[in-house]
Amino acid sequence: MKDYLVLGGSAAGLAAAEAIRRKSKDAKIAIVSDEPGRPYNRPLLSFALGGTTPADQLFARPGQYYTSWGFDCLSGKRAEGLDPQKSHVVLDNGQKVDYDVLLVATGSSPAPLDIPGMNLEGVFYFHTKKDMNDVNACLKDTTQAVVIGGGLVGIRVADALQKRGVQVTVLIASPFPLSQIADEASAVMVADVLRARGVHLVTRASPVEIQGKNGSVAGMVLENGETIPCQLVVVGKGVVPNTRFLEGSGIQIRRGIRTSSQLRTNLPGVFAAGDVVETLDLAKGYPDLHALWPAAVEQGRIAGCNMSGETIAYHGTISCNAIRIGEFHMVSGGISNPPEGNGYQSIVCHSPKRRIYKKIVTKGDRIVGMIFVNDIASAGVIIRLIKQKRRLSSVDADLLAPRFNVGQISLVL
Amino acid sequence: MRIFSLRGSMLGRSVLYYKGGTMKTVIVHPEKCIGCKHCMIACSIEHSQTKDLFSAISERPLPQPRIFVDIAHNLASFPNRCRHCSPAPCLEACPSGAIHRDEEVESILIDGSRCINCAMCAMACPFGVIRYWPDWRLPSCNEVALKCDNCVERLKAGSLPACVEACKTGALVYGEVNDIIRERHLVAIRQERIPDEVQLWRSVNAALA
Repeated sequence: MKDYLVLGGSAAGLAAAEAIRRKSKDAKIAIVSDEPGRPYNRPLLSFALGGTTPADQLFARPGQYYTSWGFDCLSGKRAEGLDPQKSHVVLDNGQKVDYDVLLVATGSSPAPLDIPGMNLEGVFYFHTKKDMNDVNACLKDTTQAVVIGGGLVGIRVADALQKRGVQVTVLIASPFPLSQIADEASAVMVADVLRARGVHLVTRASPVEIQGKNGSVAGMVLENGETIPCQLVVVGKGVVPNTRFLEGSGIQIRRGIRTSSQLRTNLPGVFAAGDVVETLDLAKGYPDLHALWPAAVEQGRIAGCNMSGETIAYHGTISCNAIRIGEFHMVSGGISNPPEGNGYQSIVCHSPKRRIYKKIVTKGDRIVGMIFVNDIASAGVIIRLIKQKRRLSSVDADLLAPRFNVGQISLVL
Repeated sequence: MRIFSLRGSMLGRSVLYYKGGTMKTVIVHPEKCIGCKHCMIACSIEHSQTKDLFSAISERPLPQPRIFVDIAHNLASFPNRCRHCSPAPCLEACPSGAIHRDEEVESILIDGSRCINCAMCAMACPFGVIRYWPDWRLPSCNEVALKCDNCVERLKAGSLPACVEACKTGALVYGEVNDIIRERHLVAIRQERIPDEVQLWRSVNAALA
């Protein structure tokens, strides 16, 4: 009987552990998770902060989850080292855990921000349930907040805080919000919606210092010398894969852990899945990081199967995201904001009156990216075309038309 | 595990994701559709507060259809409706647990009270059949994801789904999958391409079975 060890108790780790259990009723499965308590759905955190999701609906799994599945949960611990020769993992309390088959699903952490004042009370990242609870607890003494970062996390947190009656300022390094997933035209729409809802946006802004008073946050100093008074600072500058503990283990890491199509690493018996790995990006054509919850679940499930002796190939994914702010809906997928030139072409349909913006990005004859704003019904169909690497010439339909539907393309699907 | 997928003789994907055994479902024959949109009206009325055309048109929010008849390839009309995929991409993508499967009637349903309107399901749906609209059944009548619920309440009460009852040309029929396979045996049954992720999850499930 093999000893399975899973590092990480979130999307990928749990999906893998469940797959292993479904394959083998009596396998010994241990899960190391640095977050104590019942597993929860990370994408819901900003919705819980905004009050859309009640706290009890945050959980991804029923109570008594670990015992009911027969998992041995090493809760509140994190891996500090991996020794592939001796086949064991060293935890932060010095404990050594042996494995026959290992899954690294340690996920990602918020990209650190290094400015003076980060240790003040009222400065938080927004990545875990604890962060959400901390921000929540801080709100009763907060009338003004600053969110650093105009990415998905920053925008969602800003919207949630605004819903809770806080006056929010978002500091965005680039000229527009959501610069990773939106282009200029759609980002302007996002900015307009946020401003109309009362969120203050400062673009091309870089924070230089968080000012404190009696150990708590009092204000945010910008590069231009301006100071924004605030009692709460939330930092959302993206995420980085948690690979630090693997240094010296010999595992191949580029930006994330490199994996084969079966999600095996270069070390024997060691698999990896979730935010920590690089998987093939079907739009870009090379492996990249995809910090996406559904992709992590999919990878975890496949890694779990392969750890149990199956040989299922993971074909990769594309980066795709959906965001909603009030009545505003946006879905973006693949290479949505391509660099100038390089053979990319954009087909755009913009109707400012109806507040609809649709764009499809092509390279050569292939559809590689899309942005749909406010008319997103057929967004999933386009994303399917990108994942299938469909040639534009094989699609005899106007993909941007309001009446576009799957019936116009599926004859040749 | 046997998996069949049927499609109509002309352009349709009267797709059913049939997993063997007996199973009754709505089967779409797009070649018989004349584009009268009667099913859209019937669907809207069925999901309205008053369930009556004349009062439904003055309801706020205005009742919406969950089936969409539109112009397809070859300028033929095409009824587009939730396939209740198995496994379902929208269910896999839903972070709030609002989308779930009703085993009794083999349908993918949305619990509006749990829906956080995040648009992840529209991003995941390979058929483009999920829309967002205020739902009168919710206390605050907020906007949530809406899609075909297979008329589960009607099915459990022993009647036909509203769209099937309304269809006068036989483009939408409710029946036993096996009968349809037999009946259409002489017609060329071609395979509709199943979305890649559904295919992948099926192979995972088959491996875990």
